[in-house]
Amino acid sequence: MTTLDCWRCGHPSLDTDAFCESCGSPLVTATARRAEQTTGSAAAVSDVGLRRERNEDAFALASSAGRTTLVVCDGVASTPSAGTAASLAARTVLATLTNEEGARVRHPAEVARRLRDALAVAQRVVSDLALTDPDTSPVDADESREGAPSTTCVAAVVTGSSVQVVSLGDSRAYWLPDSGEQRLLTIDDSEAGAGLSGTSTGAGGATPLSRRLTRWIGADDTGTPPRVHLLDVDAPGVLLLCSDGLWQYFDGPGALSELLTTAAPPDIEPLDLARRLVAAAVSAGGGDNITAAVLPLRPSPVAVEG
Amino acid sequence: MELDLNEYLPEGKGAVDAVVTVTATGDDGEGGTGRSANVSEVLVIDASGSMHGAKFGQAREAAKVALAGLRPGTRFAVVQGTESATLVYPRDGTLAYARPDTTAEAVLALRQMHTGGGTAIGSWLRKANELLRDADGIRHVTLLTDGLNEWETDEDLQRAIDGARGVFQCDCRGVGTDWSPDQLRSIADPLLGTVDIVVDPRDLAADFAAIMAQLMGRSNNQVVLRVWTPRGARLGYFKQVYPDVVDLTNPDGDAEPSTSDYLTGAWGRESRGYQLRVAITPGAVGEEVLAARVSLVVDGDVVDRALVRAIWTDDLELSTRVSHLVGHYTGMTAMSSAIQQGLRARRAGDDARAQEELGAATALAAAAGATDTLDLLAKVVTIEDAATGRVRLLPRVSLADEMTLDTRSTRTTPVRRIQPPHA
Repeated sequence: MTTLDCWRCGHPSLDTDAFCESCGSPLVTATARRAEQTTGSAAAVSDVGLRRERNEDAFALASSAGRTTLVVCDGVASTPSAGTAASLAARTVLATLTNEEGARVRHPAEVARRLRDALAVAQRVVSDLALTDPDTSPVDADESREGAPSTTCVAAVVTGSSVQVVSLGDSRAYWLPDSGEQRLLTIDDSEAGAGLSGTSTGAGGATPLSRRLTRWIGADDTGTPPRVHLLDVDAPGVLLLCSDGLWQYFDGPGALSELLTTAAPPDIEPLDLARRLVAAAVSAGGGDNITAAVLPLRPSPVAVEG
Repeated sequence: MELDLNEYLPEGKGAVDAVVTVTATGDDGEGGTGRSANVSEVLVIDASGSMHGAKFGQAREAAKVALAGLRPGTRFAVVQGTESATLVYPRDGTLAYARPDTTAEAVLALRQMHTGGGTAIGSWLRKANELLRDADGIRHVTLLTDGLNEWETDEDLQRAIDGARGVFQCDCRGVGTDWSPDQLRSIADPLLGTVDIVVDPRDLAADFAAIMAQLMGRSNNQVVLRVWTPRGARLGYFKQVYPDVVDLTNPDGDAEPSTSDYLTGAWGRESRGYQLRVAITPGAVGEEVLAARVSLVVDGDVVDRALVRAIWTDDLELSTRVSHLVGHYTGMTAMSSAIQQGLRARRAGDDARAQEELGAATALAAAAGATDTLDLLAKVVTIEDAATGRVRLLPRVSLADEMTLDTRSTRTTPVRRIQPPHA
């Protein structure tokens, strides 16, 4: 059992029920149709979109002691209990990164190891879901779903100007500088994923087959620990973590940067920014659940030593 | 434990309603040992002057039947109640172990009881309290009276009830029509027991046999419902709503995260329903909060939890949906109170009000499918149209029918689930 500090009131709570023991706020988003959260410096919004019955995306956020941790998960809709898998993974990854031991880790190489560890812990916890007796677990009784409960996951730890990101599946992290080119920080674990790193592609033509996942968090995943991507921010901009419900509509070169400049005035509050990004994806079609977690960064001339 | 609610609230609404149904599977659920609980039973028989005659004979007969229903080894005592309480058996102020010889002695002692004197129910409860205070296992009192508590002040009675809370459970029976259902409810509700009317004294024996059978089927687990509410929320009410309506609300809720424990007494193989309302600061659209957590605590261990969430939405379709069980039991609680109000108005001579209240009760009973209650209502009013609650007061109503309706107004009908709960 881990302890999480409530994002709203700061009360440390055991995550028995995933709700704060003092003010009752959800410690992570569950599968509400819409969920919003802000820590002040960072914010996240998740929305069911226009086509899906349920929101099976999840996010988790925490800011403390100069460090911000963001997690976005997207339950794999073809598997049972996908929303539970996403919520559980988000909660577990956040808890592993922010618990007493996680918070002590400061050196960049240790942070990277901790990020990989966090995904490994989530792998175990989500894999256990597959062992739960379906008769007693509160899973959705959707018989068209097969396999073990699974989810994607992208997680970032930001200390000062140092951003470290890890991902499994096709949820993404982007660096969107106020001026200059947007950068995709993660590689999709999909059949089409290999060529996507580093630059945006015009992959609007990616077929459903090529977007099929090759890695995920869940019992059937096989593979080595994922690579951690490092970025040292030297100019102001926005770190964005999102599910494919958002990026599928803005996958062209510079499309997200453009969206940011048109949709969001400078100095917009993080929560408003996340809301506008999600609203843009809803307007563009809202075909899937949409989740965006944002952290605006303004690196100071003298970098804070982490 | 099952939870039923609509967690979606419209913008600005600050109240969440939920029904929690708790089902005890009985001995099998506790490892199948089949071992019966220790029970201590005190029979309190009204021996005031008004009991004189056939009524008292039937009461003695009922006590005899109750003694026969005690499992060997059960501890018991018989008390006669007048303006004070007197030990009938055993006489040394202890509890006897039920064996063929002791129950035979107790039956002999019953025959030597006489009627005479007044009614001071508080003194009876105090005597039962002395006898049961140090007993282990299930502690239970069966209290039979035919009159009003006239020989002591209401404060005396209330002190005796408060002193008995948590010491024993008390099932109360009123025989005849000279007693007050409100008064017996004020005793049975805090003491986690039932109230019923026995109009014809000849039916007492069967009623006592049923009480004993139910008592012997109970297990001795300490079952507590623990209700947590977050900071900024307040428990508006907490009621048992099935099998009957009992308001359990603990008035000391405050602004801090608070936890209240509700004792539920001994359980047999049964289901009980509880309804709660939490008043909470409304959140923004999209916000979610845990408004309450109901934990089922058995012998100090939390064995199950139900999470009562609130999610604010601007989707009217979601927020206007009413949970089936919440709607059902809200209606039945309103029915119970309308019956009591209506009968009170009728007694006060306010026929217009009585007709209005009893009409409302009829419509609510019809909507809930409470046929037993409708049958009882039909003896007090002419029902012209149950669905709309159009009724006329009957010019002549037997006191027994009126009191039966009053006494049983708190009974609720279970609801069959029409559709599975919203996933």
